[in-house]
Amino acid sequence: MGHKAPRLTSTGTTIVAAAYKGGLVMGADSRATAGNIIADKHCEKVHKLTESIYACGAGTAADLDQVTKMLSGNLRLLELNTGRKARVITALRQAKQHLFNYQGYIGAYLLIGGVDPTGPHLYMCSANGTTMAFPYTAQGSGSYAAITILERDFKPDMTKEEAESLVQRALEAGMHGDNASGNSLNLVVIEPTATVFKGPIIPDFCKRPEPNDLEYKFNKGSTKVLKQKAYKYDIVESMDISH
Amino acid sequence: MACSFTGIAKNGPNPYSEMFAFKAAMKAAEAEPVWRTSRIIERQRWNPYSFEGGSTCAIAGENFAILASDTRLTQNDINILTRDGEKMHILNDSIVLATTGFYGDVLQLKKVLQSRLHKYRFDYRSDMSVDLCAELLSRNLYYRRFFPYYTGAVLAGIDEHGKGAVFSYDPIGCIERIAYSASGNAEPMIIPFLDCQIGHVTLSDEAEKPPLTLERATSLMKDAFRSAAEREITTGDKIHLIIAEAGKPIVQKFLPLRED
Repeated sequence: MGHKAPRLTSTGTTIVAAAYKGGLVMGADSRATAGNIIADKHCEKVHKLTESIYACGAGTAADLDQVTKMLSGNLRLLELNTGRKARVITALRQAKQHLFNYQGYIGAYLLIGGVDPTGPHLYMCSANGTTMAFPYTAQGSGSYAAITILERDFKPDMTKEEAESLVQRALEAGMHGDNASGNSLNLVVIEPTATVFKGPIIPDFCKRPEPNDLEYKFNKGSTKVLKQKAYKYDIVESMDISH
Repeated sequence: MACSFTGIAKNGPNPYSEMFAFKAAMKAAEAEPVWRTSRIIERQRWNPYSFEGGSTCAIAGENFAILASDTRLTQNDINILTRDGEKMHILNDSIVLATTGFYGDVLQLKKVLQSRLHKYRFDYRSDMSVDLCAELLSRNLYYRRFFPYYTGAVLAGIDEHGKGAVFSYDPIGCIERIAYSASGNAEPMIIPFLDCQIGHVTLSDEAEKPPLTLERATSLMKDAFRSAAEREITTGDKIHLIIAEAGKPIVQKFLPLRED
């Protein structure tokens, strides 16, 4: 039997995105899990690729960090070389060719979205390189819960407020119904003129309902000292590290 | 060699031996083809067990026993089956069974114990004591040594001397009477906490060690679950608290836990 690869993953995730009239809202929860343990309560799953292109990631945390870092670097170079804003389709093509090269072994499941001169765009990119375009979609283990809200309430050409509330409600559904999602959510609203990042937003059900009963403080001497040894030293050089 | 290249025996015992050997090899290859690696076999084997997650915990005091569990049942570590599942079962006025693991086996085990307790009551005109029930549970578990009830059982209650009792089990009936126990997905988080706060295993001899009152035990239990729910994904929704005190009826309480 082979061993399972020890990887810190955020596979358990809810990421949601929806387009509205003239813009796009994307969002993600902030829980990273390693097996059934929460490894990070406030991890950032909404990655900035360019000023107006963002990517939300589900899958292996390290892969997502690396892939989005690579994408943002390449897109920035492209923008500097051409003197134009990068297009969403470019980010998608870069991502899918990289991921296809690795035959799914790079566990990055991305929602790539943004606004460029050709309008708002939203794409899904799977770890094996499959891509699709959507008006609205969700990914990650919480996507089943999230998609129910999107399917029920999405309509074309929503206002910004409607779209934002829809994405937030979809995320909350995912965070509530899925064990591997929760803690807090981050949103990004992308419009041709401006990009606004919101978060972390902590829904009510993600707040701790009761504080601890007892205080756990250990007085000096609580730990048994087994061995003691004193070292004498001279201060050769010192430095102020207070600030 | 007895056979020539043409397969015709010159002076061997059976002219068909080569053919038989080939047939046997073919059959073996069909039954266990080389491409079916151990990994594929392992993956394809049907697994009769599932695990519904969550955690339980029990503490024995001088004249009380206190049990707690969360109420979330989970499918495949991710999907929430219910937010108010029952992991603890009150068997009689002085015995409570708390279990995690495969919920199907948990329910069957409860049923078996309940019917045995019912028969005991009929035969002896009194309720079974917790010590006796503990032994009974151990035997019931070991009876299924090679197709176990996949449960992490904790049996607790008040014994015949009015003292709190906690018994801990593994799935095949290894039994131990201890001061506190936990089972389930958050067990690796709860046990070290109780080791520190009740067992005082890390404390020096001079350090102050508060006595284990019912109030302190209850608070520790609540805090253990609140902390576990912070970091363990299958533990959450509600704390189910059962307090058994000598000479008093069993008390049950529910407290909120985080739901995400």
